[in-house]
Amino acid sequence: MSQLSLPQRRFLRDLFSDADCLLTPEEMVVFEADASRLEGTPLAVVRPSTDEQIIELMRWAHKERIPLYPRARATNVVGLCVPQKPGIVVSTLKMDSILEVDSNDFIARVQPGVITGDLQKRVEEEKLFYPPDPASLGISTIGGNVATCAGGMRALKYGVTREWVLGCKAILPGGKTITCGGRNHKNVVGLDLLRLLTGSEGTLAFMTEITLKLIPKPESTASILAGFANLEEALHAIKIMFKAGMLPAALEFMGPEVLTALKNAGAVPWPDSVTASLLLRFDGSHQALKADLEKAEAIFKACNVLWSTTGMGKEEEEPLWDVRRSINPASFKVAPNKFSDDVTVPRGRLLEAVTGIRSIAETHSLPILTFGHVGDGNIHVNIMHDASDTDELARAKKAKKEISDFVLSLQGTLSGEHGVGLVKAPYVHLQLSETERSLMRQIKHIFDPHNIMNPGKAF
Amino acid sequence: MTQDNAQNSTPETEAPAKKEREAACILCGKCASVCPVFLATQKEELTPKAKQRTIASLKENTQKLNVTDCNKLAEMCLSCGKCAQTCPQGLNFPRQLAAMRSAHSGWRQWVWNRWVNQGSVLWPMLSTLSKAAPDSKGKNEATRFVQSLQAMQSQKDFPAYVQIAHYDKENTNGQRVLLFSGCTANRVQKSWKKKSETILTNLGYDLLPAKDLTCCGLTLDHAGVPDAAHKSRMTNLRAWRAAERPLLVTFCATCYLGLAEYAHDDSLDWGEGEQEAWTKSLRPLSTLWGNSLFTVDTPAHLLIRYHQPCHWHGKDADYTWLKEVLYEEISAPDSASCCGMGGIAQLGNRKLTRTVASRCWENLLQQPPKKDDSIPCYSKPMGNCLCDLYDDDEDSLELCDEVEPTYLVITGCSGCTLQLRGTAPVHNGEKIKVGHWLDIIEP
Repeated sequence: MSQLSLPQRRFLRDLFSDADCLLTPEEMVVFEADASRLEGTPLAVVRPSTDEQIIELMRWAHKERIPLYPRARATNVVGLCVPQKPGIVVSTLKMDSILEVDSNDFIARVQPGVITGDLQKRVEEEKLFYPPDPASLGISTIGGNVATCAGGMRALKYGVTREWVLGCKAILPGGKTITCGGRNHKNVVGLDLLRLLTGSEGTLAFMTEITLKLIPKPESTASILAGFANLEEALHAIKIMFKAGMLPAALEFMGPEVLTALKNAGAVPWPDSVTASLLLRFDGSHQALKADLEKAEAIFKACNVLWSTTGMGKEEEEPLWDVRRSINPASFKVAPNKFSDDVTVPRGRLLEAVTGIRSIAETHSLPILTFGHVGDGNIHVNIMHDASDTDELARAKKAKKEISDFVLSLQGTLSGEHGVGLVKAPYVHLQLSETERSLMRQIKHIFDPHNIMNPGKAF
Repeated sequence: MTQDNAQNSTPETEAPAKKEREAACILCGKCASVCPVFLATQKEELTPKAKQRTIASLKENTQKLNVTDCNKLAEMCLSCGKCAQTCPQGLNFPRQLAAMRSAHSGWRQWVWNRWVNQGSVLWPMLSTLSKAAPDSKGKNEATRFVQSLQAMQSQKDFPAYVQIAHYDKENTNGQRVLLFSGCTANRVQKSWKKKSETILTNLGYDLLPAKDLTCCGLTLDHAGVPDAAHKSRMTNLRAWRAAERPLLVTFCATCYLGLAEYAHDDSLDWGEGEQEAWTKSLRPLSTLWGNSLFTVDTPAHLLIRYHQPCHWHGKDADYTWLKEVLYEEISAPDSASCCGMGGIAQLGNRKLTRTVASRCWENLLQQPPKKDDSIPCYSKPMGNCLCDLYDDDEDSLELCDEVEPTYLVITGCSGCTLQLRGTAPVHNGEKIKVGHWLDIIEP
């Protein structure tokens, strides 16, 4: 199908207002792509504002066999929102209400288009806390976060988005509505469809309402930034810290190449002897935080820390976290282009993984930056290269493939938080067996027999 | 009450952090979160990233898209510049748009006609444009419009909530100052100019005659009339040079931005080291108080809300100062939202500027959060009963006292003031008052 028929266009025009039904290529340009910069062909873009509109749309698209592509802010980097097979893009941005924040039930009920950071601000007004914090939280939505099961820095202590979804209302192709879970913090009745939908990348159903779990907001936070002579010593210090019974909310590491890149991009506070760095954040009561910082400093001292600095409360902590935030701009001073991956390995194999990735970098004489969430084994790998140099580009591609194979050999996973989408779909067979993938396809078929929901993605 | 902001660094005076370069949009979506047009409409096709993609598509494949419709989409921009501040690739859509406009034949006639017929809040800038008007009758028409705007903005009655108890002349040393009042204060709001002059004189500055200064040129530039903008800039530069490079002081965020951009304009005939000297001489009026002392007298139930002008680009010296003087008497919405003034957009898309203004008003008319927004330290209980400490519901004294507040909106930008006055809603049976911060001060 390359364009909609006249009756099809009429149907959409009747269902949506003019402002919320786009049919001209000029208006649809931005809906061809997402942050992956892969492109597809939107036949129309619609912006529902009620469940009824979505029900009617799902009933009709099911009958007409027209692909639907749910989309919010389209910040994902793996092509999840790209209408690769021509179809209708369904923007959730007009469904952006926080329906309810209940401080007795400790839940928030939201529509999919709510910006995650906005929700966090809202619940914090009531001294409640929604912990998942993907880097994009200021610009991405709850709907997108749930569809991709987004992670974030606080995953070490609080887990990923999945752990915070208590219920949802979803509409199936054909127009039937299902309710999964609800307001209960415990619920074991039936198969867990909610967990199946979370992270399904919009391939099964259209979520119109999501119920999230909340907890009391910790009183405050405190951070420590520490430098070590090498990666081994830094990771040893972490091991001792866990043994001592400490669980930071966030625990980031920066490898030698990252520290060099930061140094070349501007002054850094640590001495030259530092080649590996750790950045930790604790949360809790003021008194506990003071004790936590003291304990962490003592442990680091015993583990040969070369340099460290601490901050109590947001204002003092910001400069420490600015270091982490400046990695991305600094990386582009290393080389103009990068392949960015978010592989994850079992936590115990992190050192092995980083060492192996560094030796792949050496083999291909490419700068590869490694940093990320040391606490959960999620490593951000930036393969820096100059794409205008064909030889270098070829080496970078080769290195990327080798890293994927290597990570899988460590029983790791191809993606910890970015998702599969179109970008990683060709490699899924490396990780999942034919039996598993066939089971997934059958499940999809039950939800979506005509394969209209975000086709060609995920598995 | 005292305040001291001698150490405050002045915003915008440093060179832009990101040098603009030939870069492509990476569709990261950061611009969407700051774009007032998108935030007011939730239409992704109106985000800066969409416009960047449209430009790129037009370059690649002109057949695919209808150029007129593309232009229509591209025009949905208020030139606030927030996207340029956020873009990791250093893209600046308002500037790209201005270049596209100036390259368009017939544009100038269109601008002139629209400006005269629809651009009421832009009329103060009209007489500068009139010099570049497509026909010679420009000048007289401009004067007529400015007069009618003056009449429209009746003298608002602003009590002087802030009085100056003591002027700090300590660090002034009779420094020479040129006051850059800008088009609006020169033609419509003359009281702002007078008050600023009094303040500067009382602070011990040597006030120089400013009659040779003209429009800063920013609005003209965004309007796609670069030669008129260039001429304005040259005039101002020469006036500053003739006065032997004194301090250049302004009380309008847009003028400040317009003047700050001179230093990055290499088409001006800069002398050796002059660009740095220009940047160093440029000061927002609100940063010159030193250790002056103020007395504040505001009635109960008056809620002073501050509108943050986009053109401060997040580094608002005025609000920093006002917060020090008025403390909790003044508050600003959580997220700064554009008033929809939009310069040239007033001419092409009044409806859009109104939509954006409504969202701005929604934010302004929200009650600020409870005064104590910090989280109390529960580790050291102070009360007798735990309920007093942990239960917020007990804290409802203020709620019993339900008196509707009277809103007063103040800001630090001439354009924002006119736009907000023009769009102010009625609250408690009265149109909400809007003023520049100079309006509530008695020098």
